Amino acid sequence: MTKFDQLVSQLKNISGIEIAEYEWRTRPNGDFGTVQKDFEIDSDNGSDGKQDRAFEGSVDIFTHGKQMLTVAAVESVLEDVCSGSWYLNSEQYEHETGLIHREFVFQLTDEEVPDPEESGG
Amino acid sequence: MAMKISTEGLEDLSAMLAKLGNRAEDVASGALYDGAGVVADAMKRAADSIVCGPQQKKRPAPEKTPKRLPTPEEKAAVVGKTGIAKFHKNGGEVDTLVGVTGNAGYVMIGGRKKAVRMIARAINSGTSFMVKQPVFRRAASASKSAAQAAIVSKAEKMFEDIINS
Repeated sequence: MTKFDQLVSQLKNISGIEIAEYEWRTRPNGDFGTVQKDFEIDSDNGSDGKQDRAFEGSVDIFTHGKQMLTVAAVESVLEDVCSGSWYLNSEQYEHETGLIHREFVFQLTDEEVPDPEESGG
Repeated sequence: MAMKISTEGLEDLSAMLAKLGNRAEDVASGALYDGAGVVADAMKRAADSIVCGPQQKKRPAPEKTPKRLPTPEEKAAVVGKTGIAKFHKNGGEVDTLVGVTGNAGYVMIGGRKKAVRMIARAINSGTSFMVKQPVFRRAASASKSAAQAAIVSKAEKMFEDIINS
């Protein structure tokens, strides 16, 4: 699995919020979010084509109320997978829906990481 | 940002610094102007690339409908207001903002007053009812190194002109 897959699976494990990869078909009633790669930021030319590709992506979470525990859980996953390369890009209140929208931007390489389910048996 | 200035030797350097004096700010703003121009061009192209959808006659309930795209009016407002803000000079430091900046103002769309900056933000970051199109973030990321190169080359050229004058 790649680092992005690791990020997605860890975000999906957070309790109290449902996070989907890319987009929701049917939006959950409670707090929800999405995670996606947005664009490629860097790569090297290797003998077998591109190497060491890096991507910028974002995690958007929509919560009813401040939900600081959920935010802290998302931040700790980002810190765990992306180390220091993430930031809170914006936090805004949506008048139309009453939701608080936070957008975290992260940068990741496409390196392979061991799958915890496979290695853990 | 680290800036390397090419000079032939120490004598050149001390002569350059002596000559520069209070013109350092001119060099900084001249160089920044070039750098900001590179980013602004990228931002303009980014704004042009925003995908828009049809004008909606009635605003649907956000939680019941799929995400919408910005309307052509919203896109036109954002494209028209993308540019460089006024330069802010403060004792040798010069800074500015590029993109849809604070003085972008408001537009009337469908009888409602909307801040252009908030429209741009909703497009760039997405909302729970608008599709996310991070075009400005991508433009800023992609033009960063070109802007830095433009700033350094302009500053070097201005230093040279001052020394040779």
